[in-house]
Amino acid sequence: MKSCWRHAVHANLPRTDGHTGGRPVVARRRSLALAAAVVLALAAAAGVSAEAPPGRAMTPLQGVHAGLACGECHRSGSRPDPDDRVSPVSAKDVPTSCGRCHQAQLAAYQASSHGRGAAAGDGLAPTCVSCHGSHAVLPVGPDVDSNFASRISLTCARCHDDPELLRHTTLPSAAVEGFEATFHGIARFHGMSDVAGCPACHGAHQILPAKDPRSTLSSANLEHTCHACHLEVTAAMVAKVRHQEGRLQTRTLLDRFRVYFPVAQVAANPLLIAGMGALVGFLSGLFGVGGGFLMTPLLIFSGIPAAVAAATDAAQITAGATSGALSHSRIGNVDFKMGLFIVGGGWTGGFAGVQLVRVLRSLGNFDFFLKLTYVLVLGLIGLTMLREGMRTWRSRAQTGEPSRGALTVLFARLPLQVSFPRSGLKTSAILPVAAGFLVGVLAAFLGVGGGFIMLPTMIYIIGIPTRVAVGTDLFQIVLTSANITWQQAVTNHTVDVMLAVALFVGSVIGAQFGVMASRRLRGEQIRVFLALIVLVVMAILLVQLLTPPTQLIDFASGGGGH
Amino acid sequence: MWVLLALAALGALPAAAPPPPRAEVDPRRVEISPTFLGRDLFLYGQAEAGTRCVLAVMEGPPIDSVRLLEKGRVALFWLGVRQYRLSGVPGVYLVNVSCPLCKGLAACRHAGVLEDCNRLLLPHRVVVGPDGIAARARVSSLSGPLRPGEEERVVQGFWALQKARNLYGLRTNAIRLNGQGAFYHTFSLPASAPDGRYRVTTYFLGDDRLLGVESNDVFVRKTGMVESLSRLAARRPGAYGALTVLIAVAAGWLAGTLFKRGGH
Repeated sequence: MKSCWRHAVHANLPRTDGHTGGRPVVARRRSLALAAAVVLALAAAAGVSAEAPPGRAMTPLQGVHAGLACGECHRSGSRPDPDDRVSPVSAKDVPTSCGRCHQAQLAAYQASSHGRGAAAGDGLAPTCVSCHGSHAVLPVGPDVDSNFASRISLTCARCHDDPELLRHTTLPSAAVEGFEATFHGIARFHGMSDVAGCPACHGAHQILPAKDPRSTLSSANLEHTCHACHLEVTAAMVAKVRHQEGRLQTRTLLDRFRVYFPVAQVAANPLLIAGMGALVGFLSGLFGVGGGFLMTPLLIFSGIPAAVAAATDAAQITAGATSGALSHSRIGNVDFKMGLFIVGGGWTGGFAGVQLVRVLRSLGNFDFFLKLTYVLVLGLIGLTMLREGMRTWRSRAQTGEPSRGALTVLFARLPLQVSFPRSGLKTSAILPVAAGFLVGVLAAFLGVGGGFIMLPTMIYIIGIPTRVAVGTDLFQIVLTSANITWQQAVTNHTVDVMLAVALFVGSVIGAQFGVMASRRLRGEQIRVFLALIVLVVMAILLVQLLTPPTQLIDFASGGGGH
Repeated sequence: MWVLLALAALGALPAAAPPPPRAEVDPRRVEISPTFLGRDLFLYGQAEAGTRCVLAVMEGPPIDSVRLLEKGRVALFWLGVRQYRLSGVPGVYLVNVSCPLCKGLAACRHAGVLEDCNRLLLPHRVVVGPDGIAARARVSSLSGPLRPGEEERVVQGFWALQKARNLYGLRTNAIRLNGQGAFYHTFSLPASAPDGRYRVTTYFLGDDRLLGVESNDVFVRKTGMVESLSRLAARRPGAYGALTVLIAVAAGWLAGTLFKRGGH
């Protein structure tokens, strides 16, 4: 005893009987506490400083252990330095020391991640004092209005939000940050102490990783854990209270990279948008159509408002068609002269068509006839092209082009004859201008851009070879869709440039692959595939018209498609 | 003697006054940046003494007008047969109500909670929920005069459309009200919420009357690139449209050039 005392840090203090230590002395708490106070008072009176480890102040006991003697934990003559391995309050031994009174908690702790880490010699693993403190242990429990209970999240944050510690361990990096973003975290931040803190879900002493089946957070136990507070637990509730980090892990790729688009005023995944652009760009490069028939519904499906989808689609078509037209022009597939004639007629026809629609709409319900006409026109064009293309494909004709129709022959005799060497035509200028005008009227009338109608018109009525028709159509689409984009931006303010850029990224690349694919196909093959797509679009429209809507009241939106 | 005097002094003190009613919202400012995916607003505070039910309404900036259509069957086809213009309603309208009977349950089984609240609010000319929207909505027909019951049907349809976009909603048992009168709840602001000033009005309802009302403002504003582009699109649409076309043509040209150099 004497030798032990001689080496103890309190050796220079007056001797008292407070250092007999060892067995629990609950019945003598008051007298022992008095003795401890006397010790400190005597030490202060004698001008002797209590020798505490460097950097640590010696504080009297407070909280739930206020009645205990120092020797209950430190034992007689022992060294109080937690870094001293022979001390009973060393990091290694403190759980055992506390466990002499708190056996159940010790057993739970030893089975936990914290306890196993400490037992394995991990110096960073927390022990009892890491959470509860040493000389001022406060009461715990949800009904206890103690500083410890209300600040439990901050207690856990001492390790789980410590950047230095997170850098050197495998602890989850955003556990505390994620908790603070949840309803529970925000409510606790504002002082709602009856809301779940960390231990309410994770447990207090037997904290285990969620993948451990014994964990309170394992998939088998999670609902039961939530039931402790909530009588009724839904999957949505569970998802909502999960930490941000957990949400990120379970989020799909589509959810993870969402971006806010300023004019559309929605958040969507730009990768998904670019993918749609690539698909439509491919069709554009292959067939010389804008692809709005596909793009606008796809954008609406991904949550973009219909008006913004239709307007921004025009910008995307401009980019995709520019890319495709440039490539087609390099291989001699664009008849610029013909294109300008058609555009001249198309723009005039488009303007006239818009006025006509306005007049007809004011007369009454005209949508029925518009949509039905669209279905009929698409069906007629698709079936005609399919029939002709299949016949040419099977006969393997030398030219691969349809024979010139009566209209083509007729216009070849009319005045204002113009030569179009790229198309191998000499015909009246009236023909391309009139064709452009009619397509413009029809496009405005049906609410579409006209690619589907323009291409067959070029091939079958004007008599342009299929490959040149594809390139020339793309050229006229560049001019037409650029005009529509600007008009939409000025009139309706519905063009979203960020959304358009996301679409460009995909469409300009897709268009190049479309052009490459078109080189491998013969004219009649392109016509057959285009006819099939036209018929598919017609079938989709027909199904939409025949299927009862989920809601009878809907937003009225402008039609899209080019 | 001193002990007796101290006890007498304690007895003479008035009972502790209940904490004053208040309602707070966190955050007060929501910034819409390119990474904005929506935001949960946390509302909390202290209810008036005697409060049995707390009702909170969050209203976004009003929408100018919206064009709706009613689909109907013509021969074999489903088409928009009638068109309407609706105005006078907010762009966002979210309602939370507490229900003392359903504490701890995810959904309230008491459908009449909102009706009870509206009964107490009626003397103050306040109606909350779908009925409140119906009372404020102005519906006009673009396809001839309105028929009986048509306005109600259109407003109900509009509520359903906005609800599907998470812009309108009614959640009963959404406010937690404890025994000491402290309450808290959340409003989820979706990513599609428009910018502007939002007003959160919290009603404290007793057994038979409205006890008090608290209001808070939340400012939702676009920032950074989102703000710059929105402002350009609204204020200089010609330049914005030209810029979009320029970028489109440049992107197409760039891709065409790159692919050519790539050997395709």
